[in-house]
Parts: sequence; C-alpha cells; structure tokens
Amino acid sequence: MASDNHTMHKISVCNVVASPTEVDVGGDITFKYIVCCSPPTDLTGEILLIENQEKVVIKRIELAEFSDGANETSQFVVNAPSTLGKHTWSVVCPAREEGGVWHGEEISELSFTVKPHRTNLTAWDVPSVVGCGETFNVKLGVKCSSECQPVGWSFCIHNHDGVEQTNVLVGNDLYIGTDSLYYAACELKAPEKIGLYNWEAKVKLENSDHAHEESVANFRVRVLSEPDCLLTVEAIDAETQLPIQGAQILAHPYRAITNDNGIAEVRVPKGAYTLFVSGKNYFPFRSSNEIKTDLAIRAELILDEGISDSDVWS
Amino acid sequence: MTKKINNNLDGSSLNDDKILSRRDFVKTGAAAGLGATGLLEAGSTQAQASPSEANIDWDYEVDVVIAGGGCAGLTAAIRARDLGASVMVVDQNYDLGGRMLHSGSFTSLGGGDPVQVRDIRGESDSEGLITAAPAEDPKELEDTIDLLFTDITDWSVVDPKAQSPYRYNDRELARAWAENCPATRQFLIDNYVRFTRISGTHGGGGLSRARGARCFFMLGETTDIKAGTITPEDAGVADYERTSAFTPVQMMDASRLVGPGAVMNGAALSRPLEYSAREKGVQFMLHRHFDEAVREHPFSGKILGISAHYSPREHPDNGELMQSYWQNGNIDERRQTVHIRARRAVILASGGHAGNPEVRSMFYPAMREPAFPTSGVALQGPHGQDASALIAGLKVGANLAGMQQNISYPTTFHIAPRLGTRDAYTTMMPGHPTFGFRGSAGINVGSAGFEEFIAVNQVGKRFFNEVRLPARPSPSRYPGADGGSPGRGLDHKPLDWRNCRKEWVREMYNYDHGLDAALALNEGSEAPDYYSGPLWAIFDQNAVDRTGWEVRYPYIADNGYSFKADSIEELAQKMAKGHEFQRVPLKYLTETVETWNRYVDTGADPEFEREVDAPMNAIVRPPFYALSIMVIWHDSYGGLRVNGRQQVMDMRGQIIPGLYAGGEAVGGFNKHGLGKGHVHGYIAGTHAVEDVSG
Repeated sequence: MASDNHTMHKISVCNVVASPTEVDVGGDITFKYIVCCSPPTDLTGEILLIENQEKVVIKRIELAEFSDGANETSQFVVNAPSTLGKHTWSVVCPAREEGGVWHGEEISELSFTVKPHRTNLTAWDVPSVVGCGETFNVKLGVKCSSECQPVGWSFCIHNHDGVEQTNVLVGNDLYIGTDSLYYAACELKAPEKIGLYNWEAKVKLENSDHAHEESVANFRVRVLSEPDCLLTVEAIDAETQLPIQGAQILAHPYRAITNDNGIAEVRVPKGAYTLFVSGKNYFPFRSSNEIKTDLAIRAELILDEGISDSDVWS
Repeated sequence: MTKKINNNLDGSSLNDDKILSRRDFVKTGAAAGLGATGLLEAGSTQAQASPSEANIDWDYEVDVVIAGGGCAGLTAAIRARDLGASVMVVDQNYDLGGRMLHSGSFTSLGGGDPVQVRDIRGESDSEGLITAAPAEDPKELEDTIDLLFTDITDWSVVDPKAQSPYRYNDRELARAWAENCPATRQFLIDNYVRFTRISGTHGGGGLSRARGARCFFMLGETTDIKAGTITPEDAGVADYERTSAFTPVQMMDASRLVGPGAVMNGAALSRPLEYSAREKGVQFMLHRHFDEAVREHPFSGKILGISAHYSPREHPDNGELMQSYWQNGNIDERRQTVHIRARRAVILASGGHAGNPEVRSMFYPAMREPAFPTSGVALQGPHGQDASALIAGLKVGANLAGMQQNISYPTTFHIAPRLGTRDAYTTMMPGHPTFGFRGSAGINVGSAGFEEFIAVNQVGKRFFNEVRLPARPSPSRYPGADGGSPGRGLDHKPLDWRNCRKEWVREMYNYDHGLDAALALNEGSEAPDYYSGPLWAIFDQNAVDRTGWEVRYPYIADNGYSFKADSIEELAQKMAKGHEFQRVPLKYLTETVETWNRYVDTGADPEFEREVDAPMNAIVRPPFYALSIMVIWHDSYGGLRVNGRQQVMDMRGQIIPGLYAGGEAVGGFNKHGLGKGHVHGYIAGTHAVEDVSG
C-alpha cells in the first residue's frame, strides 16, 4: 500500500493479441500483453503473473520492451487446461514501489472455454448404384481440429437398421491433397432389397490423449435390380465432329465416363430417363428417352466459347 | 519547387492561323449559346484577369488541360495538339491507357468509315499487313452517316432483356457522334493504330451494318510502334502464364481477321496512341488525381483550370513509386496539390462511376456493396472510375444525362465466370507491375463450368440455379428470316413497330435474373448498409478432376479469394477468417452441402430445379474448395450532360464555358466502350481549341 509520501501511478493491462474465446483441450493460447502507466514509465524487467482459475501461477512473463509510452511482453504461448469448460485466468501486474513512486496492483481477466476437439468425418467414392447384395467400397476420412494423429482410431459403419457393418482402422497416411485428413477404404455389402438407404459412419477415438467430439457422416446406398439394357453414348463436338474423351454421362442414377473414342457404356433397367452428357468447357447435352431395349445415342456437344464482343449486345 | 508559369509549356506559341476571324468568333459564340461579350479577343493568348483568378496560385498553365489519360483523354490530347494547342494530361494512375489498355480493342464506328470502305473493296491496309479476306459481306459494310444515326436512335429496338438501348439516346449527341465516326477512324489510323477486318458491331453501335474492328500488332523480334510489331513476350503469348508491363492482358490470336502472326487487344490501340501523344509533345502528370474544375464563380463564368492532388501508386512488392512504361513528356510533380490553369479549356475524360459504390448505388442500391469492384481494379487502382468527373462537374453546376441507361446495357454489371480473384474481368497474369494488387489471375470456368459447383451467399446458403446464374441475355434477334443484325443477315428493318411488338418481345425474352438474385439482400444483411455480401463457388476434388481446373498459382493464391480445406466446416472457418468482406460466419454451409448431396442422390433439386438444366454432382471428396464469385460493374452509362460539341451543359441549358467532357464521364449516349470514347475525345479536342471560351 502506498504511503502518503509516495507518488501514485495508474496502471492498465491489456492483451493485444486476439485470443480465441474457445480453444481445443490441449491447444495453445497465444498472448502478448501491454502495460501502460500514467505517466508513462519504463517498467522493463517487471514480471507479469499468469494465474489460473485456482489462482495458481502458471507462467511468469517479463515486460521486455518500452516504446511509445507502453511496456510490452513478447508474444508467448500457454497450453490450455486439460479440463473442459469455462476458465477465467488472471494476468497480474504486481504492485511495486521504487524511488518514491507507487504502482498499484492491476489485474486483467481473460475468459475462454476449453472444448473437446472437433472431428469432421467425410464419406466419398460411394457408388451411385449397387446391385442387391453386392459388395462395394467407400472411403472415409477424419480430420481433427487440432490435427491429432489417429492412433488406434477406427471407422464404424451402421446400416439403415443401425446394424454395424464394418469396423476399420483409420490409416496413418494423409489423403492426397489434404493437410491433415486421415482415411481408410471400407468394403461393405449392399442390402438384398431394392431401395435408397441411409447409412451412418462414425469414428471411434480410442486412446486419444484429449477429449474429442463425436461426429457422424451420412451417406446413401442406392440398391437397384440388375440392369437389362445397354445404353451406349457417343459424345462428339458439334462443330468439329471429333470425339470428346472424359465426358460425363448421367442417366440418373447411372453414371459413366467416355473413353478415348468418346464412347461410354452403361447398363440401365428399362424405364424413362433424362440423359445428360457433359464435357469440360461444353454446354450439357440433354435428351429424354424411354429405354426398352439396348439404345445408342449420339450426343453433339456445343463448346462454350464465351460471349463474343459482338454477341454481348448488338 | 519553382512555379512553372509559361504561356506555353513547351515554349511554342499558338499558331496564329488557328485564330478565328471575328465573323467566326461571333458565329461560334452564338452556336455555343454564349453572349458576344466576355469572350477572348482573337489573337490573345492570355486570359483576362478576373476576381477569382487572383485567388488561385497557379502552378502550371497550358492551353488545354485534360483529366484522364484513357480512351477519350488521349484522343483529345492528340487532336488538340494537332491543332496547335499546348496540352497537359493528368491521370490518377501510374501509367496511361485507362480501361482501354486492358480492353479487347473492339472499336465500333461506322457511317462509311475508312475501314468499312477498305473492307468493301477487299483491300489490305496501307502497309499490306492484312492478308485475311474481309470477314463481312460488302452489303453488311455499306454504310452512311444517316443510317448510323438512325440505328443509334431507333426507338423500336428492344433487346432480349426487354430493355431499349437506343430510344433514350440524346439526338444531338448521337448525330455528332455519327458525323465524326469516319474522321475519328482516320485519325486513329493516322496515329499508328492498325485495324483488323471489320467483324460485327459492338454494343450500342446499331444493328443494320457491321461497324466494329479490333486493333492489332504483328509478332516480331522487337516491339516497334511505328513498324507495328510486338515481341511475343510483350504480347503475353510467349508464356501463357505471363503478361508484360506493355500489355496487362494477353493478346489474342488475330489470324482470322488479319493473317498469321497477328495479335490483338487494347494494347494495340492504347500504346500507339500514347506513343503518338508523347511524340507530338503532349505533357503528362501521372500519379495525379483530378479533383476539381476551378470556375470563375461558383455557378457562373468560365472554367479557369483544375486542381489535382498527388495520388502515388507504389509497387505492391517493393513499395517503390511505380513508373509508366514510357516517361518522355512526364512531369515529375510530387506536391500534394497543384493548380493547373487552362487558357482554352478543360476536358473531363477521367472515366465513369463504376468504381464508386456510393454513386453507382444511385442506379442500383445493392451495388453499394464494396465487395463487388469495377473491372480493372488492380490495373487502375482504388481511384479508377471513381466518378471524379461527375462529382467535379456537379460542383460547378453541370447537369446530368442518361442516368437510367446503366440499367439498359446487359454487361454494365454482370457475374464474371472468372473465379478466385477480385479483378475478375481480365486475365492479367504475373509480369504486369499491378499483378500484385490482385495476386491471382483467377480460373475462367466459363458459363458451362457453373454446373460443377454450388453457389452460396454470405451465410452459406444457395440462392439461385447455378447453371443459370452467369447467363447474360442472348444476342438480339429481330423479326425476319435471318434474325437481322451484323453478320446474321440484313433482314432488319429500322424504326419498325414489329421490332418491339409485345408478342415478339415475349418470344425473344431471355434473361433469368440470376445477377439480381446475387445482389439481393440475403440472410446476414444488416442495417444500416444491408450489404448483400460476397458469393462463393463450393466444390470438391472430384470437380477439379472432371474439369482440369488449375487450382494453383497464379490462377489462385492465398489472397482471401480462394480457400482449400480438408472438410466443409474447416472451409467455412477459413473463409470467415480470411476474406475481407465476409462479415458474418457461413453458418449454413455444412448443412447446405449435405442437403445438396441428398438432392444429388435423389436426382431432384426442389429448391432450384438444377436437375432440369445439367448433371448434378455431389460435393464429397476432399479437399474442398471455395472460390469467390464476383459481380463486376464494368462500365458506366449516365453522367455529365454535354452537347454535340462535348461542351458541358448546366441545369439551365447553358454551356459551362471552357468545360468539355467525353467518354464514360458523359451521359445520354448508350454506346458501349471505345467507339464512344474516341469520338468524344476527337470532338472535344477539336472544339476545345477551335471554340472560343470566355
């Protein structure tokens, strides 16, 4: 406490790095504090105390620089608590007296919530159609918000009745093109009856160092009867009459890609279909067809040449 | 720095032969609506002192001051210089050319202009560079001034958006423009511009004949304006991922309209004109933003000159002051504000209002959204197309004209198919000094590419059928067997009521309003601004594999206009954190993608009927991408009111003595692009010298 013979300086403390209001358990919180004194006073060397919710000092950080009337710490990192929930920490600039000048204690509070790691689950390469009871493959990927390694993790898939279909370990390799998505390929068996089924994938996070939120990925399995008609599509450029390789064929839900000769074959059940043929930089070709037997269609696609200066507005 | 007050900046004096006789003096004064008093006496080269002049500390003095070194400004400068005037051009940018430099060079004139005549005769150009046959039938090229004037004032023409492009054009402006088209074409040719074969007509140029040609160079070992050659490196064709300081946009193959080895775009128009202007002694003050026209009295008297402030552009990489491609004729002036006296006239050619969200929102309130820029924002900088001429004109009492015509041109504002860059109108690549201001070239997905992704608004919800989103109205068609317009047959009858008969309009109407859905207030728009927010294309790695889109530098970059993530949730977080105009979280994005994938599985999109127009593809395979979709306000219509001599008019129908304007600064004429600007510049440059102002 200052005596009557001391000069009082007012202190303020603030954090100048935007801290997250939510942080993953085990994650890092970045700080940088400024201490201002009125009148401006060089306080370099003084120590700020970071106290946790229990008022235990978890870090001491020095005021390292004095410029433009303010004292700064360097940027520093503190590990988040392992306890989930809301936390309130205190940053304490202790009281001090020197040379007749008294600086009172100043406390700045920082509140944040420690949360379990989020996991995002994704399913892809699901076939658009499978036959009754057929085996098919799906890929599943999982990403942790703190980029945890999937040691001991596994994917679990349940069918539309909630029956577990498979349990596959998550691989240790990243999926190509991703930063931290780990994946596995899963072999599954389709239901015996025709229908569109909603299946669910989860990830089991055994042996994780930190708490993780559960996440779910849904995907649909469409089971259809054995197709009895062959649809052959030839995709060509309407102007040059040259074949278009890699054009996408869609007679929902059946899909195919044209080969080097611009031809794709797909077996479909009898019925009415809207056929789309779509190629890179081409406008889609569309036709409506009643397929009762094998059918061959020649699709002439128009190149998207962009709007010409003349065509913008004549 | 010492003052530079000279009668003429380059030491020369006005050619006495250009001084008007007293008879012409009175005639001109009467035609301009001026009284006989208050005008300069013939032979005088110094303005009479007036009370307001005494308050201005002029830093420079020339005959003609031009605000803006683009299409209209450079043309006016050369024309005025040809007539013996000393000329200074100020431009806010570091280099000349304005929007002309990044344009496609499509210059539509007509009325029997020299290039039409050349092509009718099947002749080559005067240098024999053109070896390609004419692209248009001679009947499409036989033109007259009367026919051109009729076309551009045709009340009956209605476009597929049910807009009327010509009926609101000011008749006096249209007539003056038509009459000066042939002379302007020849003027451009005389100043090193080389035109390709005529092919079609540019926007607002009339339906009856083909009137548009582009500008070209021949590829060669050197870049030589006089020889008409350009190196592949300077043309941006040596490396398809590089452009150059000479040409911000890669030049296009012109072999069909010229012959093998020809390339074309706005650089073949802008650089020759700039070269000629510098060669003839026009002075330039760059990094200098035109602010105000100085008038004798607030709303009366003549225009005395301009004030302009220093607007330096610094290189985005090294912070140094950017330098124009050529420097001869440049004045290195760095004082904050200078006043430049104009003994004869001031010509306002500093562009339109496309880059000023507050002004353009006058026409469409939703375009106050700053997320949506004008075209060429990297090339021209933050002060490009900022309505400086309009604002300055209003301050001295100018009237406005054609304010509704912004709505009647289909590309004034539009959705660009180039994704992942803010400057989505052009294909600038690294190599041009301003590339760093945009950071990415963008991926041109074309209209067809919009089937490959979903488009979401600022909260992550879909808002329109993506396939129809970028669609612009189709080309105009008119009753008749061949559809009637240049290159599509001559079966078009001007001024015919059947052109706009309601049954025909219903038949040809072809616009889905996707752009307007994009601009509309959407969830997340908050008072008082109600910004509609940025738009995003969301897709997955499967889309990349299908299309071959190059999701890498220089097409995309870490500049806040493209994002990549391992999951949709992470993508939404990155977008919210990394894009300067993303004001709210994309809290619905995950749900939107899941819903979309469900629609794909069922084969039906109940919200936007996508299954009708194109294949639907699920967004499932990581990594996931978000690229910006930009709405671009390209060019402006509506601006200062001028008469047929490009003299600015006030709200009492009187000219403002000594003030001229041209190009996008002017309203009342719906002609798109370069054709308008060049003719306006030609007329303004002529009359700024030949008229007498007082």
